[in-house]
Amino acid sequence: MVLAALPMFVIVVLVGVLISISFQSGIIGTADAKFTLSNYVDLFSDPIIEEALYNTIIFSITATLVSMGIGLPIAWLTERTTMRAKSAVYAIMTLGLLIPGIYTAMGWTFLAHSRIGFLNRWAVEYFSLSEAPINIATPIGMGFVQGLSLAALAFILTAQMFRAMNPSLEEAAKIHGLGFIGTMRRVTLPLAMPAILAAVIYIVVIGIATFDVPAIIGLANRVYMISTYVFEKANPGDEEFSQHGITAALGVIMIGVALLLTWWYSTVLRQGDKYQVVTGKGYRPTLIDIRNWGKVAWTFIILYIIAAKIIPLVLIGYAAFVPYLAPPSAKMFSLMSLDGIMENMDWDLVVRGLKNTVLLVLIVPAATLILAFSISWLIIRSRSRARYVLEFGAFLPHALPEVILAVAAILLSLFVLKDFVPLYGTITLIAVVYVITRISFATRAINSALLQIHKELEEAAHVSGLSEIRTSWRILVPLLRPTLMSVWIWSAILVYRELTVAVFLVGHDNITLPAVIWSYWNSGATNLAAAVTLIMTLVLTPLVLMFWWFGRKSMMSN
Amino acid sequence: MISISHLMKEFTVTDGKVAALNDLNIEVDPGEFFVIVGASGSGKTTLLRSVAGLETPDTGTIKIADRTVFSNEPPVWIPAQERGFGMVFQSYAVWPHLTVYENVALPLREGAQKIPGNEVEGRVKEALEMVQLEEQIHRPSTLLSGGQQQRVALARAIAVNPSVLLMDEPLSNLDARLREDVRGKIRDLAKNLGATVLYVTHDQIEAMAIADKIALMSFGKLLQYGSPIELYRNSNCAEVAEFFGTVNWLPGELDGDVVKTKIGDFSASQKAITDKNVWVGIRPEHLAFPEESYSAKPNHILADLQNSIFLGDQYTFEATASDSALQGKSRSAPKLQSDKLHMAVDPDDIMVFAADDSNTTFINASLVDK
Ligand SMILES: Nc1ncnc2c1ncn2[C@@H]1O[C@H](COP(=O)(O)OP(=O)(O)OP(=O)(O)O)[C@@H](O)[C@H]1O
Ligand SMILES: [Mg+2]
Repeated sequence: MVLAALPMFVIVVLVGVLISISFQSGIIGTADAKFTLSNYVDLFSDPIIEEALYNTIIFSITATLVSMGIGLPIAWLTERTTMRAKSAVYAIMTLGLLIPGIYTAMGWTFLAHSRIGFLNRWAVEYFSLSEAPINIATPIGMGFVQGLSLAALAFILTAQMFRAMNPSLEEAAKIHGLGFIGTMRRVTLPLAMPAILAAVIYIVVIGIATFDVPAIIGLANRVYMISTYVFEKANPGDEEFSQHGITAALGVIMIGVALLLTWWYSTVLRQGDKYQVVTGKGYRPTLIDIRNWGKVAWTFIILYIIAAKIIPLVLIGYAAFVPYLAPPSAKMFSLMSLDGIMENMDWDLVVRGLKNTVLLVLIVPAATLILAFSISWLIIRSRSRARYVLEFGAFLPHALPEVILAVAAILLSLFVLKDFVPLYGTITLIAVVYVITRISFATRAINSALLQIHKELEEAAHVSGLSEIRTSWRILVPLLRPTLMSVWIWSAILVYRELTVAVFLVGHDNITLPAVIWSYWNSGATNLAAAVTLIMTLVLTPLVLMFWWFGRKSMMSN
Repeated sequence: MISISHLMKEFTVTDGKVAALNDLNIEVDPGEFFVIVGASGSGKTTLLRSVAGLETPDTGTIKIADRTVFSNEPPVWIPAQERGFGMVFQSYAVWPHLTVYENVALPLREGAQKIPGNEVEGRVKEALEMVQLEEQIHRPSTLLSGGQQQRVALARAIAVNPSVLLMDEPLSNLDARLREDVRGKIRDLAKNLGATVLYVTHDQIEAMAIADKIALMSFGKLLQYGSPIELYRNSNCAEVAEFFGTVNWLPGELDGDVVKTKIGDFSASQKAITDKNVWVGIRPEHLAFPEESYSAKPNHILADLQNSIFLGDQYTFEATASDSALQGKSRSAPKLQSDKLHMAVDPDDIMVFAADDSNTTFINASLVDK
């Protein structure tokens, strides 16, 4: 019970601190602070916020269009047609989910940046253009990159929907004389609409709050999104003071917007459930025969993989070993060496980052699992009224943008806890925020697994005299093991590659590996950033393979 | 051994409240095989789970061998873990990640008794032998048939040597033939162990076959409990009578020693009934065919035979007497005496119930069903 309530308590404190600081001016967190609305006034009169808002909207829309434009057709193809090698699509898309957005962002900067982008250089050279034709550092460009990296998620979300859809509805339409197009337009799409809309909202929410892609591509070029604007306010240059009051005010507004969108999302989802006319187990949907179009479909998928994953990875590898950035050529290849990395890399920093990251990967998933398990157990098994509160509490962090949680954590450690517990700049602070941000996902996964376990299995243990703890340990945990395993590894991967909360919270001692990449990138040392990315990938690969292995096993056992 | 008094339990459901247990009073003697029967939703499972400690009743007391395990005044609550019972669940609840051996061993090793490690193996083997599963001892439990899983559940429940064994429809997932076989074995096993058994079923034949005593529940209330023969012969109300077999109901008026009905008089001398308006109940199997020719005496009926069906071990037939339909069952074919069917009932087999609200409502509903 205490364990289960802990994350909720932290969330409430974080949000509380955010709200209270958003109304303070003067010396925040002391008796001298004054209650004021000026933070909100200042926020709205800042010209940059208007631009950032506009950019964010364009960015989100582009990201959503691109990701759904790629993910939705692939989902339909895999679930509803005779396209071949479907499990390969699933494998590719799940891997795609695991490759961080910063990879894609870095790769596409190399490719399409207005100054250094290879595509631009080539275009200028071959067509003798006076200026670069493509600029990735625009809201649309960044939205495109974000869309590429979110397409895998769009695929997963919509593939589930196509799978759950009752095929006899489509068949009925066909029998009554509707052709392929007619069936698609009159039955398939209307039925799929709520789920598609839900997926769109989900992705828009991510788009609004996302930090890594806009930060990697846009920050150096002073193209701000809301999230990167928050970062600038929280970490201003040397000559300015940080304007915590304004950041907090923006955070409060963002929480409001995120909650609204999430509420809309769940309403839409619930509407979708209405349509789920009994699917029954083990039905075999009749697949639509696409014959030779299968090749076209696969070409599409492969192009996506190349654009979103392979080119970025190859370019990162290339960038790590060349002394300066120029489009690949015979000369550049001859210049490739390890020297640049060896001479300039601050190995101390890298090792410190690696150590911290490993520590986080060891602690955070374990803590998340223990907390999520307690919460799930109370939600599913207890009859106390507290379970509704818990359910909402576990769901809340999912709705709160990570950027805002990070800011709230900074404010909490700087202004409220500074005299009791010196958390600022420690790895503990990062760990706490990581656990909070992962708990929704973990709870949801364990909830649905726990629902599948017959209650009498536990009761049999109670009647046999096993205590509550022993019952959990001997009966529940072994039965839940596949789920717990995949949640654990999934959280580990997300923690390992995390670059949002980290950027806000790291200092000298608690820097993480992704934050090392970020700091090199930010200071213009792209080759070092690329090199650290390669090191990170080397460590990431076994984790991903493990996820793959256990993920498959748990799929089979369900 | 088990003593339940004034037990109440209400559930809140979307459209109001359901009284799953309504002022229940039951005494179960040590070593008794006590069966709880009743229609679906009558509260049997709730009662069993309350005794097990898996459900908390609202009010009342439950005592096991003079130890109070539940009471609301003063508040007492012993959790399931400390009650030390054995229980067989309707779903069997055999732990799927453990082998047969481990399923039986886990409660011994880590349950309340904490049997020392070197004794565990012997106890497990002994229990598995009793249910004839020693061959499957190291099988993963997911590879067992339904009947085998049922026996693992039984072995697990008896291995701890419980003084009280609880079973919730343990046979409902078995096919009909196996069910008859297993119910006899369960009874023998329980008698050998000397355990007090509380056994839930909704099948009255199963109940009659294994019970020392039967309790019949309906809508959370206990209608009657006693030996099978008591419930069959001396039902205290129409609902109990009908639960244990079909009954032909006839409205009548009490007049001295006899009840007058449309189809004739029936003696009611031994019945403690004083109401004027009554219901006479006659079971189909109690209709006999006397040799003598019909004359209007109490307990004799003259009827028209409508049809008769030969079922191998018995005949069933329908007859009408003064517009009343009667159902009958007999070993020999119905015998006609000059086109009429002459039947007689032993006075001991005649049931008479007061025509009060509850009996009349119940009988009218059941007449509509027929
Ligand atoms: N957890 C619960 N929540 C709400 N109502 C319940 C709950 N458990 C039982 N009930 C209600 O209590 C009443 C008695 O249920 P119970 O399961 O004890 O019946 P039963 O006699 O075992 O029936 P069956 O033969 O179908 O198993 C029913 O009306 C049921 O709907
Ligand atoms: Mg039941």
